[in-house]
Amino acid sequence: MARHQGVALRVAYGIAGSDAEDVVQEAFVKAFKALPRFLPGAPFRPWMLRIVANEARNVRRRDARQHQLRMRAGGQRATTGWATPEDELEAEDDRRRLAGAVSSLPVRDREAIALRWFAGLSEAEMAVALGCRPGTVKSRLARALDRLRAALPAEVVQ
Amino acid sequence: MTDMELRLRELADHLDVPAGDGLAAAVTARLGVDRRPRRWWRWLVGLVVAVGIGIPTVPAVAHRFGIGGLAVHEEAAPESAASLDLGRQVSLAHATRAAGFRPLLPAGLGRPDEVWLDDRGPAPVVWLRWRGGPLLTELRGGLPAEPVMHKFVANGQVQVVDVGGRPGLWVEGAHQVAIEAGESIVVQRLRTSDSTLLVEVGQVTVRLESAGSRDDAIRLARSLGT
Repeated sequence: MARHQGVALRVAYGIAGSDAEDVVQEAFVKAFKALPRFLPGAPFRPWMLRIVANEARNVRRRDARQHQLRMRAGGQRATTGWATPEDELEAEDDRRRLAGAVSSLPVRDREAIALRWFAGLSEAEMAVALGCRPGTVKSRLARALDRLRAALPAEVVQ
Repeated sequence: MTDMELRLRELADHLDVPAGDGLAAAVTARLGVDRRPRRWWRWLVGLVVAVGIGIPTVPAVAHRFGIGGLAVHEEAAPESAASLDLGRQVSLAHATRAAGFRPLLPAGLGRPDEVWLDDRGPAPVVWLRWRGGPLLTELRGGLPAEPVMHKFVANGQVQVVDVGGRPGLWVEGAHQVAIEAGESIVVQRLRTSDSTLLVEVGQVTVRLESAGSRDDAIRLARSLGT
């Protein structure tokens, strides 16, 4: 479980924000109960993340609050020695704007973004996690990115 | 990968994702309430083994330690062999843009003769090569949640060393190294590597191969980014 906890929390947080821990707890309990239906030899991680993503979507639907993504507080980030404090501040502002824009997206877009870029799944893994064809993954990701760009203030769209 | 995709990857490192302390205990307790905890744990162990024997895969229950997105397993490598495959050759500027971090260069060697970028896996890997000299592998620590590179070593082949105040791992002698690409735990490329030093400098994990003796490698690593 420890091996998959980190990635599960990233997906849950990306979709459901502060409810992530409850989501993952519920999803892991469901996953254990569903293990007899898991096909040995199939990739485990996308299968497990599918349960996490479903649970996160359900929580979002039950609760109409905005599940805002927040930045981790405190602690100066260790740099590689080439970023100035000004660079860091600017980067932090950029991240905050980006997090705000992701937060404003429909749940389906957040799900795609969380699986692909927060959890680092390949498109093939995403197809398993979302229960769809690889081509559908591509179009969902493209749509999510389009809406994300539209949601960002113009000056930070690159 | 587009700039927006890189920014989303980078954002993930800074989000206030809960640490999940106590999550395992809570799940175990919940399953206990269901009065069948042992059975589920047996399923889990069986599952890990099932996943572990796919061909070739990284055994999930190995004695494992590592630095940044690089895991070291004290056990035999899965069967498979490949020659050196570094991805595609690019300019240093291109690698910096595509990898999302500025590769660290050791002092005194000048610019690398070759820069290669491997972005087929879950996180970009940059290779810096000096002809007749060392081969450096660099990747951003922290992401993804699971290791990008794996090293398989014999018991006692690894020692913890001091690299200018940073802990490093020295792997003495030839060993197998693998990079994950595509499917989450399948080893796609496996090859034999020379002695290697691993160290994390800031947010960059650096692997120094063919950098001479242990002390030579440590000296080179200490000069990184200076």
